[in-house]
Amino acid sequence: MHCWRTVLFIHIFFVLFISAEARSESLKSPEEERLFLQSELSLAQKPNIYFILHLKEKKIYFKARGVVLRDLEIKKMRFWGRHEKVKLYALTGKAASAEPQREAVEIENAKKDEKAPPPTPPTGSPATPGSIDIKALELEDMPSSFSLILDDGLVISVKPDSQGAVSGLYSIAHSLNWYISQPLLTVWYAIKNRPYGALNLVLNEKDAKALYWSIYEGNGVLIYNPQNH
Amino acid sequence: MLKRARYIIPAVILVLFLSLECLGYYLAGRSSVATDEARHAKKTEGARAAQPNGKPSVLKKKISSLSPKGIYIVIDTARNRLYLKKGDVTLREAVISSGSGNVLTDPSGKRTWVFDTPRGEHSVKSKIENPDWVKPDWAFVEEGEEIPSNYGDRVESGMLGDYALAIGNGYLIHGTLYTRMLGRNVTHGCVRVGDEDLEYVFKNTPIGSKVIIF
Repeated sequence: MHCWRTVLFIHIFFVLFISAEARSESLKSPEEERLFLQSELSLAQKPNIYFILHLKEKKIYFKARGVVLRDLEIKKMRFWGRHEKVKLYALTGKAASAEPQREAVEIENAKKDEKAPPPTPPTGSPATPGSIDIKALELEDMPSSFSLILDDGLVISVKPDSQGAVSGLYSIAHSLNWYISQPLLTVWYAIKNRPYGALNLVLNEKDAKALYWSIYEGNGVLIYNPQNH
Repeated sequence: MLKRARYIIPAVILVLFLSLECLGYYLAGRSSVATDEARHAKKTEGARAAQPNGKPSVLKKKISSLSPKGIYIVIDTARNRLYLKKGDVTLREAVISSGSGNVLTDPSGKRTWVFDTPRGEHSVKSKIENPDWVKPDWAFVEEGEEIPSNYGDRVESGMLGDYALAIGNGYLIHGTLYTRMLGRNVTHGCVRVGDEDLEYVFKNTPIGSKVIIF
């Protein structure tokens, strides 16, 4: 029994003193900024939407041709593993436990003998658009909790912020899950000889849905972290 | 002996688990700078090859030189908003309807249409007053009707409002009879705008203006 206790303490010692806190390589500021701008220039030259995760400003920018289309606030973030201060990725996939499904359009039966009159638009004062139930993919159908899989082994998990006692418990559970699962995933990917890193972002629920809506495979994602977190 | 045996298996599992955790923490913290730098250098090499190595101020100027000159349109399909912009200034904000994201498959199963508003950068190809709707094949398939061979049978007037701006591949920014649905994702890919906003956009957007949709 005494022996097992000793083994346990040694393990706890290792866990506490081997730092898993993400460390960035040290780059001088002007060099970082130049690298960041060069990377953004390469994205802005293409006719595609791209995303900048500016971790110092705690913002996610949706951009095209250097123009900011939208920005989202990052409430909280957490890193795992080594990461570079400036790095350009491509999104290879998104994953969510409840992925939205497209509706299939039902084909109307044609009337053989008479042509149906064209639909008349509704008259009178319009109902609130949001109250009308429609079969379509809309922002509200998007998940607020999902993962973005980037090339080069980085996984960004996005969670909504929430308030209240239950969410406090959820937050604790999520943190525990993070600190237990990340080392295991690191070992798993090391066995597969593939790089792995993780970034956890907490956004407002609507912003998280907007990010899921707007980002898709092939989009460029530029992560800029000029300061250690 | 038996008493000790009861503790051994869970203890072994715990030790193995903690060992894996320790290994994971160690691997995460281990320096792989050289590998990371090499990978990053390789990746940005292609991007850098065409880029002048310049001062940040020069690079910033180059990025801002890529932004649309003059009037341009930004369409946010998540929030169903259209912004008519000049530089950083928003000249007009409009509530719109964009693509429903629904899928239509014709009964033969040979063709499928996905009703998304196309993302990315486009431009205004042409502007039309009092546009007629030339019904595409999907409109007949959706209604269970036969696709007409006569072009004239496809034309319907009064469906697209007073103005339309074509942005390529059959997609239009146009008016709508269904104004109560503005703000929702209900279209087959086109962008529907209310009458007053559409008139403003039509009259102030030259042909060739950029249209950025996200």
